Amino acid sequence: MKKVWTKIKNFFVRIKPSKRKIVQLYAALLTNANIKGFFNGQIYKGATKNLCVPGLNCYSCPGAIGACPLGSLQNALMESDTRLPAYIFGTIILFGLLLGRTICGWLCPIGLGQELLYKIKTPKVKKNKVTNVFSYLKYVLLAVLVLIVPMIAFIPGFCEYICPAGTFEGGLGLLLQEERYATLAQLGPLFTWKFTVMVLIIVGSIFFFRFFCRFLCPLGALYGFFCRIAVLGVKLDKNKCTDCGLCITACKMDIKHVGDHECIHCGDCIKVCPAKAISWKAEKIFVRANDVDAPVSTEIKPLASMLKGKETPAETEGKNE
Amino acid sequence: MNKKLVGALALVLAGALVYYNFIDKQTPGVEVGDKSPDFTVATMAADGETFAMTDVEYNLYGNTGKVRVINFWATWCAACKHELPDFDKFAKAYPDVEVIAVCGASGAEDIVISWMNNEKQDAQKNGWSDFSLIFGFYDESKDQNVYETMGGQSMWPMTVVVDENGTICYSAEVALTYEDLQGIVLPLLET
Repeated sequence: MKKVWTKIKNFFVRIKPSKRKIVQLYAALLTNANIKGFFNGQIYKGATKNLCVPGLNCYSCPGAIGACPLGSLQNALMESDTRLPAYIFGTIILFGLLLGRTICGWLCPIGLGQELLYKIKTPKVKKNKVTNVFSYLKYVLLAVLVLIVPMIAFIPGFCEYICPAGTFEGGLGLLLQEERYATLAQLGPLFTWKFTVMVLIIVGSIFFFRFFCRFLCPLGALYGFFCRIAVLGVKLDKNKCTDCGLCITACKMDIKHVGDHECIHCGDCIKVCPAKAISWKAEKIFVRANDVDAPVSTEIKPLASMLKGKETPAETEGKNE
Repeated sequence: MNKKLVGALALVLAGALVYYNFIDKQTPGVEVGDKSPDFTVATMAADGETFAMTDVEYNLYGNTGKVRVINFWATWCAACKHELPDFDKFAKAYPDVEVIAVCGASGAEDIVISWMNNEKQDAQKNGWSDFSLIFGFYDESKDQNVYETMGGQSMWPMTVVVDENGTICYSAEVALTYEDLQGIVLPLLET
């Protein structure tokens, strides 16, 4: 037993997962904590299924403990008639405002899956002008399959025709159960289509970094709209930036600027910037009591200093400069 | 603070794993061999050429003494729609068996009725017999979720067979053919 534990420990020491990879694994596991579902072939239907998880994760995955934001959006639009479905729009806006596409880089199980597939050692297709153009396809899918089709045809267009998470987690997760092997003979052309799409995406993810995220994911497209205003993520200090472009070269996504709508906030660019112009937003959001970097007000004198006739720290600093 | 945060997060994950896998067991509620729960649903019927909701409700225990086949389907489920004509054919061939196809919709009945009307127009082509089925309906957002009451958990379609005494003899979330139905139901008629 101890030997097995040491082997596992050595494995993790050898592969050295980054902080981000650990967070991704954590999120994938928490999102699919209902592991018993894979063994009893049933999806979880309890209270937490009414809440959306931030990343892409099929509602019909036997392990899923929450709802898929994209699936929920399509279903809400199918039933909505003339009123805007406030709950799901509110949830997505909240996720967008707080996290934006850091969800893509840190919390989405499908993003994790693609990054792991990309690790398979093959020649890779680097980003270029063509991939740049294809990165706009996901906006078309968002508009057509996620927004318009559910409203006019009353079907969840993206779930039904494209989503590989649905095919893999929901489809295969539920079908590959012994009591359902007879059902496999009943699978029809829709399953054949979706299975083919899933295989193409898996193969694509081996050769293209985050093939699905960059070209097809409507959720990433949606969160991308919040890129400038999200609380968390990477930001560029324009005063320090020398326009050397090393960040864009190092980035594996189709960004035009650091932190734009294609950025998944993985932080790879932070290490390569020679001017140290890239950093995490909201680094100063948590401040300890005695932190010397704590933002100090220069406008209002702290009461204690006024009573003792002392200078405020800001005034001292001003004099020293 | 960092260590505390990591510890707290690890606790959350551990808690979730324990909760979902050991505490919230989510057993089906009804299984083969149990006495079937009762339910009531609204019905729709074709008055001439078009379908409409009727004033009559269907109650499972309203007409005991018959073997009842309850099929659960939905308009978004291709396999469900594909098998309905077979249930219709079975209902016509075995009038002693009560066959009801209950449609669960996440809203009003309009979409279901319009699909039924389309089917009526293409009845011959799609293999429908006489529309001898009882067509039940419930609105998931307002009414009792009959699919779940009758033990449904993950997949559609689902078919439950209840015998004359109200005992569940068959329950599966699979699509069935006319021959499958014969194999399941006919032995019950002999006893």
